[in-house]
Amino acid sequence: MTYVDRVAAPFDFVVSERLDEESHEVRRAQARDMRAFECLYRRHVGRVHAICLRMTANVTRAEELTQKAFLTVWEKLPLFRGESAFTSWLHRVAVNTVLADLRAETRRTRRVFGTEDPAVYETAPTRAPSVGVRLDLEQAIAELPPQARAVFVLHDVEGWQHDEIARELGVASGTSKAQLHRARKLLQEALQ
Amino acid sequence: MNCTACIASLHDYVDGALSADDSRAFDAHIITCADCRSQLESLQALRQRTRELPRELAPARDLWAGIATQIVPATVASDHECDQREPERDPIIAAPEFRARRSRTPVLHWFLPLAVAASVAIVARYAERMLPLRSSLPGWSVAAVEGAPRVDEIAVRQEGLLRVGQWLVTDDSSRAKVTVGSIGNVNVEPNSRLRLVGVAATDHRLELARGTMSAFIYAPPRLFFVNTPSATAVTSHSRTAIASRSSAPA
Repeated sequence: MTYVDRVAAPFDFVVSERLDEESHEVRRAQARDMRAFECLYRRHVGRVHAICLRMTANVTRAEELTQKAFLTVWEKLPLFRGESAFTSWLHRVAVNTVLADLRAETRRTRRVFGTEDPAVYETAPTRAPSVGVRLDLEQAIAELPPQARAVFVLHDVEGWQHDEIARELGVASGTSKAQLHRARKLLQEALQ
Repeated sequence: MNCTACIASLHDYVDGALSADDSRAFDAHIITCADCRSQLESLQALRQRTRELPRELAPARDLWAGIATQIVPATVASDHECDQREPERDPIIAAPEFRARRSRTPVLHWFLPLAVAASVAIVARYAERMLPLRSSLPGWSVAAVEGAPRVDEIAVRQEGLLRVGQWLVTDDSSRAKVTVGSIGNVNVEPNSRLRLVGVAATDHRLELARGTMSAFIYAPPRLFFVNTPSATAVTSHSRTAIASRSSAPA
């Protein structure tokens, strides 16, 4: 047995066991088993909340959107056919929930201010909570303008591609790139 | 490649989006230009710090209760839309669907006693299967004081909910604090096993099957009870501290 085999085998076993357990919970939750759904919630709430918190930079909204995302997952679970991993599907639901909220807020703001100037939407966000040694980077992300923050989180934190981001945000791929570069530049300046 | 082109390509280079030829030209320029190299290093450092961000950020409070309360009515409503379907084999969904459909079946007068008997049998048969739906039951909040106490095998990271019928278990490295409605709190010591029995307004009741707990209750007497294998502790004053220990097997 090689070194890699000795190291990889137990890890694969654990991952496989966890996936089996999760797919069982997903099936039970699809059958409207709330306890199984609660297990899924407990397992994934940290990831979903991280997405919501980083994209909104608002603790209260992040909690509301986390709840909303899980309610959407509960509603849509019977339609989930397992063509992608449950985790990927769940994260996609979370991102879509946040983006729908951001779009709604943009519409609300536009009605209130009656302007097409995007600068008016870029109000200072509520600060994210302290996260220890990562505080400065988390805070700097939280203080980015909303669209730049959304693109940065999706691309650099969540690993999305520009064409995916552009599709979800309803912008051109070049706009997504420009927003990412802007976000990185602002972060570099903030962290100096 | 000059500095302008290099800076314009910086992000694509870091993201691996440059062609092989452009990458080579970029590398050649970076070796000779300290300013551009400094900008590259700054961007790479940011990318590295971003990669090190935690994938999970737990919310400061348990959000499940808010989700559960919105799910339960929806579940009941959907059960009533299942008239034309056969009961699922899955007992957890089968029970409410079956009950909802039966409740709307026309009943002839002479058939009434038999129908009542059948209903009782159905309820008895499915009562046990309904137990997993107890996440809709009332409960008290529980906070992890140390380690990772578990509620029905689910680890409580910061805060959770202990519902009627659920067990709170601490191991040798964990302790928990349970908020007893609005009348006080309970500290659960390591290696304990505690169940929430009831949360009625006049009967706040726990069962300590194993281990040690202490309670601080600010309420009129005889509102808070702790069942142990050998006795029941009960508050006798408006401000009472109870310490219970049970060594009985779980």
